[in-house]
Parts: sequence; structure tokens; C-alpha cells
Amino acid sequence: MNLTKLKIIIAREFMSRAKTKTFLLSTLLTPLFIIGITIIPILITTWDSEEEVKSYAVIDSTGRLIHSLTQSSPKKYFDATLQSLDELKELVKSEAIAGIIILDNDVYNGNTDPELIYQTGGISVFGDIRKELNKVWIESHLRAENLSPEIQELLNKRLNIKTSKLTESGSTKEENQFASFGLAYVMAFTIYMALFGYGAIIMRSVLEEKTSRIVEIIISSVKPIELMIGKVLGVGMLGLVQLITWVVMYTGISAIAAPLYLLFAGKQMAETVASIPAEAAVPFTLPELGFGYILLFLIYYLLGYIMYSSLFAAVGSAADAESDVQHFMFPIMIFIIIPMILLSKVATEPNSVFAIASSIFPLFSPILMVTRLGVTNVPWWEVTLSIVLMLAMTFFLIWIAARIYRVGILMYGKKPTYKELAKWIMYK
Amino acid sequence: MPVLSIQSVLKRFGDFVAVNAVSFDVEPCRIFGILGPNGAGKTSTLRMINNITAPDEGIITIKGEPVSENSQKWIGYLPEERGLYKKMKVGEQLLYLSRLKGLSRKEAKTSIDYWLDRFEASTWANKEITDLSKGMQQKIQFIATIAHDPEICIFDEPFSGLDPINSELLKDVIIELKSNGKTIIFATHRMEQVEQMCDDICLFNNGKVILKGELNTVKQSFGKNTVNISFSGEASFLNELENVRINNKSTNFAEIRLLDGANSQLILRKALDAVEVYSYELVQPTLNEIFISTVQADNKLES
Repeated sequence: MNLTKLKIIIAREFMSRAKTKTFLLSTLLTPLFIIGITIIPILITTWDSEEEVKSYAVIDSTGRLIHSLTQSSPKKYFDATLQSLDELKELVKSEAIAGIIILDNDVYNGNTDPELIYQTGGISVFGDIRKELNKVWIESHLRAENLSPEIQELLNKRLNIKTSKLTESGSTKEENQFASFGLAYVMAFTIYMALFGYGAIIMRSVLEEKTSRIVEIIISSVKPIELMIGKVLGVGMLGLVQLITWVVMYTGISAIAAPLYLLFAGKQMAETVASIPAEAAVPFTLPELGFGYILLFLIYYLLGYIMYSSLFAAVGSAADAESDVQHFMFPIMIFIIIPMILLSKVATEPNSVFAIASSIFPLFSPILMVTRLGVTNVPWWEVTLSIVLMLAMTFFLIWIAARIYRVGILMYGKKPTYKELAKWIMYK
Repeated sequence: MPVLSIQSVLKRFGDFVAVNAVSFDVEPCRIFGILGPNGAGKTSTLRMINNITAPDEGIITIKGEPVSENSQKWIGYLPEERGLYKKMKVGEQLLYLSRLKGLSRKEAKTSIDYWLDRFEASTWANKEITDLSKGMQQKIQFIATIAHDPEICIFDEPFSGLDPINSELLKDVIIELKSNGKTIIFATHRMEQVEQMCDDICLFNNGKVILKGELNTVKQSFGKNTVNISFSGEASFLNELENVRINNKSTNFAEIRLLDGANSQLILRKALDAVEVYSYELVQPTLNEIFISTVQADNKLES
């Protein structure tokens, strides 16, 4: 391996892409896009509830529920016990009110369910109404039984779980389980995207050099394996730069996200936040990325990238045109997609034998081990074993890929069969 | 000492023997033509000389040293299928390729500037290849081949696809390179260029060398076995001649190759009977004729 030439190749592969607008835009816009699709739905729901001015007419012939109901959300419910049902129905039709809720003795005694007459509405709206009616109804019965307020409060109370993870050093660290799940998913997904995205870049680049025929000129100066490795490393550096930019952006955004959000959503938000459970606010309490985790993530990211992009380079060299590659891509894609299918099982039961075994399998490790590292404490020997196995696999795959590559780049015409690829590997 | 020596080289692809026990030497400061029909093993041989592939048997030495990474930088190689990075600027591209050949950034720049100027292409340095016309791309391709000042220039089918202006330019450059002490090897099946430029030739067929030597010696060895005749009248008498092959026939001219048993005097007599003869000359065969007859004889031998 001639290091001077390798450096020249890496520099070209890196610079020729880093200078493009596509790279700049995708690096800067991807995180904004992801944040966008997380924040916007939440913003929309909060704004939506602000807009919700139409209320429900409540006919309560028992007179025992209406008071608490209108008190709990005066904007949403109003007492219409004295109004005629037909009149109210007209109001619903003209969309002046959202609907009519009918409560009577049978409902109060729990014999029938309350009736809601509406024209437009959705599951979430009905769910809210059901919850509120239930609360008022139970409270009313509890009051009627003359239970002490303490007991009433007790009956209304719901326990939540506070999770803390036992770290290697033995200290417990309070951690939001939901958040670390999210993080593990994001990290696994980042690797998944990188394997595919950068794999495709490598493949297309090999194919381009082959079809433009410049490859023969280059390999009259350098060894094919030097060109292949230079390409893989040059593009890999590009990915690394992108990743580091994202980590920096993530850190920055998590610092300013909460205040920024409050600024957007304003006071309204503060009210809402108080009434919803803590989990729902998760996107704004971004979990901190530990240094150890980042380091391991980078190792898995890089080794995974090198393993798969070498294979993609071999695919590119064996094909003549982009339309030919599907056939060879398929077996590689399978190994990237399977861990994504296993992902949720591994994330929910990260210490099962199944999770351990599949995360140590080197072709799955980049995605599945990163997932496990995010949600649980993986014993050090498992991490070490998987890294050793991945290193061995990486060298093996580079070797295989380089053998195919050196023959493939000079072969034009007929699409080779797998048998022929096997022969190429054996050529002297 | 030959600058390039190929000794008993054999190259297999699976069961197919692409190059079979080939040996030849190239002396310095010569223009050496490798001829042969398509698929004769020319490109496979050039690739081995360039250390792109390795021979299964035999040895190739350049300046007395076995082919290696080191010998690659002494060679400038223009492959048969041309190609450059389409989306890369001319200057950067030439710099990249020269640096891969071992030039420092500074050396490469000086040389690239010289050649861009020599080809009147200095203003293209910041253009991408896709923005250039085909003729311009061809010039850049030559520069890419010779910018690192190689001692041996190898051109595979150098004139194919060239417009007449670039053809002339390349011829001038090749002669300039030779006068600067470089050795030039070119592979082609275009005989007229070989006849005009080559000092030595080597003819490939079916992976083997079937004829080699100095061009003039080779031609002389075939003797004066060709008749050039110009005439006026009905040319059908040519069809009645026996043991000959008619090359290059037109209404009032024919090049007649005498095969075994043909008598040149008999042909003259028949011509006089049939047409009015203006000139009649017994000459050396053209290279084209040598090429065809040698390859055909070899193919007959094989089958």
C-alpha cells in the first residue's frame, strides 16, 4: 500500500464531494428536517386546541354531573339542560356548537353509556370527552359515598415509574427510559441511513469510473485495492464530517430547544405542559450523549460503513450500468434490513439471548449493538467480542471485495454470474 | 539494452489463453508498433506492461527491472477506451493524474502548464470536461498521458476517433517525443500510420507473436511479390488470373499479390491481351498486405 498515493486519492474523493452544494445542504438541512418533523406535529396540536372554540351542550337531567363538568373545562361544556333537544340539534347542524351530550339517571347509575350527538369530530376528541366524563362521574359517586378527601385523592392518583440505570461504575443515573429509547432508535437509524446512502455513493462512483473508462488510467498508476480503499476512506471521512456536524448541532439545539419552543408556543404551551404527563415533553428534554457512547457509536459506524461500502464497491465494479446493480445489491441489502426488522425486539428486550446473539453477529452489530448500547448496559466482553468480530469481518470483506473489484473494473459486456464472481476471487 | 523486454509471457483468463508465450524487446528511442486483429492479445499485453494485470508465466522487465509499482511511473499509458472524470476541472484532473504518477504538486503544475500551452489549451484549465468538445477532450487526454514526462509512452489505438487536426497534432507530438529520447509503443490495426511512423513492428494473432522485426527488414523479407498495374479498358481479365489475390482494385488500377506458383510475366501477357497497359511494376508488399497474408496463413495453420 503506497501511502502517498492513498492520501492523494482520499483527498480527491473527499474534496470533490465536500465542495458540492448537495453535501452542504444535506449536512445542514437533514437535522433541521428531522427536528421539523418532530416539532411541527406537536406545535400543530397545541395550536389546534387553542382554535377549538366550539363547545358541547350538556343535557343533564340528573343535575349531578353538570356542575363539575362545566367547572373542569368551562370553555368546552355548557349547561343546556333547559333547552330543547331539537333546537340544539339545529345548532349542531349549523356548526354553532360541536355536539350534544345527554346524561340521565341511567347514565348516572352506570346502566347505560352517555350519548354524544355530533356532526364532526375525531377519535382523540371523543377520547378526551370520555376521560373527562369518567372523572366527573367517579368523583360524583365518591362524593355521594361521603369518602374522606384523602381517600378520594388516593383513588384518583396514578403512579408513574421513575427509571434509573445502573452504570458500570455502580452509581445509578436517573434517566428517562423513553428518551434513551428514542436516542437508540435515532442512532440505529442514522447508521442504517449511512450504510445505504454512502454505500450507494461508493457504488455509483465505482460505476462512474468504470463506465467513463478513467479507471484504466488510474490503475496504470496505483493498485486497484489502493483506489478502492482510498475511495472508501475518502467518502467515509465525508460521512464523519457530516456526523460530527450533526453531533455539534444536536448539542446546540438541545441547549436552546426548550426556550425556543416556549417562545414559539407561548403561554398556551405552559398551560398544556402542566396538564400532560412528562413523557409527552420528551423531544425537548434531549438525552445527553455520553462520551463513551459517542466513541462506541463512531467505532460501530465506521466499521459498519467500511464493511458494507467495500461490498458496494465490488457490486459497482461488477456491473456495467446502474440498471444492472439491483441483482447484486439484493443480498447486501438483506443484511442491512434484517437488523432494522429486529430493532424493536432488541430494544425492548436488550438482554435476551436473542438480542445478545444478533447484536454480536458482525453484519448486524453496527445497528443492533448501537441500539443495545443506547437502552441498556452491555457487558464489556460483548462489546469487545463484537468489535473483534467486526474487525475480522471487515478485513475479510475488504479482501473479497478487492479481489472482485480488480477484475470487475476491467470487465465489460456480459453481466457476470455469482459463479463467475467466485472465479474472479480465485484469479491470481 | 532494450528499454522493455518481454520474455515468454503467458496470460490466462479462466480457460482462455489471451497471451501465449510472447517474447519481444523494445529498444530505446524507437517507435514500436504492436499490430494484430481485434482480440489478438494486444491490450492484454499492454496491461501487463503497465502492471495493471500480472502475467501467469514469464517476465516483463522495464529498464532491466521487473515490472512493479516503481516502473509504472516511467510509463505514460493511453488506453484504447479513453476516459476522464466528467465533473472535474481540467487543471485539477491533470494535477491528480500526474501526482498519482509520483510528481510533486509543483513539478506537476509546471509540466501541465507547458503542455496546456503546447496544445493551445491554457484557457480550459478551469473548465469541467463535460464542457469541452470531443476534440478538446482528446487533447486533454494526451496531456494526461504524457504530463509526467514518461520515458515510455504507450498508446493503444491512438488515432481511433481523432479528428484530422488532432491526428496530425498527435503525430507531431509522437515525433517530438521520439526526438526527445522517449520510446513510443503503439498498438493498432491501422497499417498506414504504422507504415509512416514505426521503426519496428510486432504482429499478434490469437495471443501469439507471429512476426516481428524492423519494419524495413520485415518488408524486404517478403520480397518483391506484388504487382502494381495501371491500365485502361475492361478489367474483367483480373478475375481470370490464378494463384493471385487482388488488393486495392479500381477502374484503372490494381494491386496484385502473387501467391505461390503465380508468374508475373504471365500476368503481364494476359494484361496486354486484354487492356492497354500504362504501367507495370513489381514491388514490395504493403504492410497491409503483409498483415493480411500472415494472419490468414497463421489462422490456416491453427485450424
